[in-house]
Amino acid sequence: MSTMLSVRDLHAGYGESSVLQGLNFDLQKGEVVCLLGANGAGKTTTMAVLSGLVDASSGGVNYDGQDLLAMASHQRVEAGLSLSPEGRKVFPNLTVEENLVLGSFNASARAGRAARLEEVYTLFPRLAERRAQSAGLMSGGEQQMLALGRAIMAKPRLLLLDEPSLGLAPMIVQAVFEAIRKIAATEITIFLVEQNTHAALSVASRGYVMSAGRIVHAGSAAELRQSPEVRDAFIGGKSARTIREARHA
Amino acid sequence: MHYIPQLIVDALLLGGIYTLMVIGLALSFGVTRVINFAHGEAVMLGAYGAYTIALVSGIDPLLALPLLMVIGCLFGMALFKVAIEPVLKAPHVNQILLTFGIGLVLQNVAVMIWKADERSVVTPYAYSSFQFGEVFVPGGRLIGFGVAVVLVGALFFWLRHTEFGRATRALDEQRDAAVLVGINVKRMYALAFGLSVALGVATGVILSFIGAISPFMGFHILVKGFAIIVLGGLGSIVGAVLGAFLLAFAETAVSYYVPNGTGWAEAVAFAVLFLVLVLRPRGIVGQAVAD
Amino acid sequence: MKLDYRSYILACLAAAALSASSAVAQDTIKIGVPMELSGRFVAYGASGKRGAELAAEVYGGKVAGKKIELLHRDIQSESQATISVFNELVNKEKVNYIIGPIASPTVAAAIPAWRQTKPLWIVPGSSSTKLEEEAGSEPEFFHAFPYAYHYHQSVAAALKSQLPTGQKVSLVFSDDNYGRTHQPYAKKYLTEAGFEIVAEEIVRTNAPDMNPLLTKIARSKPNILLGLVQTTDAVTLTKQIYTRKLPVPYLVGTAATQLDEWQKAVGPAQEGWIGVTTYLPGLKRPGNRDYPKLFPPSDEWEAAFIKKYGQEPDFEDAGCYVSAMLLFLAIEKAGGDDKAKVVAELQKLDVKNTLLGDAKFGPTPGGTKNQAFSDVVVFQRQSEKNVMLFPPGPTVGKIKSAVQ
Repeated sequence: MSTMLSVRDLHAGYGESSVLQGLNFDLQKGEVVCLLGANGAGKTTTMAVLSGLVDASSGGVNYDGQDLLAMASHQRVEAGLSLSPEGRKVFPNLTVEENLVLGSFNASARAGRAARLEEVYTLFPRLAERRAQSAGLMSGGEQQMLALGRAIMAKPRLLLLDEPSLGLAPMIVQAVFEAIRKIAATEITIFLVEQNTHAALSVASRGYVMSAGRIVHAGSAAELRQSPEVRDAFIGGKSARTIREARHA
Repeated sequence: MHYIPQLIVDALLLGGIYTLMVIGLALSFGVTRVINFAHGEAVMLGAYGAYTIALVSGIDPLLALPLLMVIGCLFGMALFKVAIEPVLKAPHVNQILLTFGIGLVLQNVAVMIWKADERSVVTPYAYSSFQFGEVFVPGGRLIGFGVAVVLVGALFFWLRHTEFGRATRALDEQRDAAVLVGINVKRMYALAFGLSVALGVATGVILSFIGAISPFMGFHILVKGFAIIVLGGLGSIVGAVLGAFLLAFAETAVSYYVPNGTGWAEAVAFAVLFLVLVLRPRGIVGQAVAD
Repeated sequence: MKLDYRSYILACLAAAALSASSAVAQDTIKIGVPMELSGRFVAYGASGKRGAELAAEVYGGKVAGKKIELLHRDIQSESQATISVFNELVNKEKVNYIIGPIASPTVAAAIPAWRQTKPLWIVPGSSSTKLEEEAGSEPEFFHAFPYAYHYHQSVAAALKSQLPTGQKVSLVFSDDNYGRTHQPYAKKYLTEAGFEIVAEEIVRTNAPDMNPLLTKIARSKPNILLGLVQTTDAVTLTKQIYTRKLPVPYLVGTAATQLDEWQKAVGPAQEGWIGVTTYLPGLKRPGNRDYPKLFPPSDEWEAAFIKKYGQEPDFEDAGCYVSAMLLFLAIEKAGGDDKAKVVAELQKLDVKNTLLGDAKFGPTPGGTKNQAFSDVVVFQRQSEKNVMLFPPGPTVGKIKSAVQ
């Protein structure tokens, strides 16, 4: 297996504050890996740095043999790195179809655009139904599908997904992750940020846990699923409270 | 009351001119979020360009229009890359001062080249007019209206149906996502800015035969343009067109029905600006702008 | 007695030596010529400079035995620059005589700086009555140009002499210093001359559309339209009147009508416009018999001007030529660079038939002590030529309607 992405000692932040304090991890080609952690751990910042929305202050990222940090955002998309951002960020006044077409804006993705559009519509029948509607008028779940579809239109080799379950009802989350599973079945490498650990671990083969800008734990999906301390202490929930109460008892 | 048919004609034609004036400003602000305080000077230079070409070679301003627009676009793109791109992340005040400064320099260059006296281009159609009963339609302004319709139509077509046009709309709405789909933001900004200058130049060419031009005409145009943009909604091109016609109607109505109304015309623009800022800051169509 | 005779000769020699040295130290007469050589009023200033230079040349370059030194300065049509220039002329160069500037706002800006030493000041421009209020009563101030009320007295008289009674007038005036100072005088003198003011419209400077006010004016069916507007507004007004074929037979402008730039800018629309000026080529003034070289007949002067400069003279070429000439004459009569004496001589001068008419400084009802050249010439553009309408005389033509 060859390395798709290799992150070394990555530091980044906003203005004065430093969020990523030396991040290290690898992704192999074709893998589906998840990044877990509590709010404020730096997960979205990680995605932002990888996609180029935010600049790194130090460290290195190797993307399939290339120096990613030296590439401008549009060059990264050109090279096959595509992010479906937190909060969807669809183009509200453009139609569903226009949003998708824009996903394949970069030159290398324009060829085969029509074929890929059909693939997306097959994957997300709801989008096909609503292709002429303004994206801003759709429900959260539909917008998430649209954001995913748009990211796929870029013909990605590394697909970054930031909180796809955010704000969605459980049934919709299921539908969305069903689609992610289908995408995962292809050769695309997927890196998935999620607070919904159950959903994340249902599609990822392994994962990292992040806290205060660093990776603090790594493991296979099975390990992470069965580690109550790690899971609950960093994600929160009933077990965490029990442990704390036990300590004070 | 018997003024109404003439009022409508006057207001429509004025609205066409205002639209031309403003559409470039709306495009550049909507996309780059930089208020171009030198836009009035783009208009002024377009007017002088048409005047000079007419003077030196006798070529009609309308024929010179496409060439001047192309020159304006290239110049705008170059200016953006050199002067404005470096301050994209700077505080808004800095950007305003920079474009204002560029405007002043251009004004003084114009004074040096063309002196400060007023000029105008004389063309046969500028003086033509049509009479429909009691209503009179001036030919020059009608042509200006026609050019405005064509250019605005072309702009909307471009935005709707071309790759870069679609990308411009995307950039206008959601900057982050535009970056994520691989749009080269800096190049798009330069293109949008260049197009906005081209539209300003077109306005100037029309004004060169409709009225008088002077190196200082840019300032009034900018002030009015700004009022219209705020009225229509910052960042919305449709809003800018609506705002242009609304202001034209308001001013013309005041001119006709208020004694000494033409003396109040500028005040109308400011009154409208004030009311909009108080009652509906986002304008008729615009999106809320954080700052 | 021998001793006395020798001391007498020694004293004379000493006195001669002393006066010779002071003559060497002061053998030029400095005259400040601040003009609008750039900026908005460059057309006026360039002419002013030329007129003064030509006068010095024709006079022979020397006055009262001393060389004439014209200190030309550019006030850039800006108030701030005007003040700096005047300060320099008055405090550093210590000139006793100043000619210029021309435009109303720049002249106004100069007044406080001028007051510091009050050199003899000839203003060959500015029709603003505020100038009269602020400087008119000063004996060192000489106004060689009509005030707004002179303008309108002449316009009213001109129209009265050429048209039948009972004409209706509509007024358009700009919402600035210019329009607002001229409008009351226009109204006063036109009404006194028997005209009826049927419409008045104010217009903001740089108005993009004057059509609404023209529509309103058309409804009151005037015979005369008087446009008290300047520069770009004059062009816009003229063009819009022409485009809509406004059915008003007599169109009266003010200074703009004579200007080359206005005529070029409006093209065919200039036909029939009436203008007001102090001087125009083709006036055929006879010239002064006492000073034929300095004040030749106007035809001769114009021909010489065209030969030298390749273009026709305009009103400020003539205005500053005449003002400078009068100053030189006064200095000559005073015998030298003695400001008080020159002031007195200039006040006494009475030179008939200069390019601008009879040159005699006298008081105005508005309070100016030294006013000359309050007569204006009213003319009309007919087939791209100037036809004189007023004052009455052999060269006067007939007024033509602007409506075909």
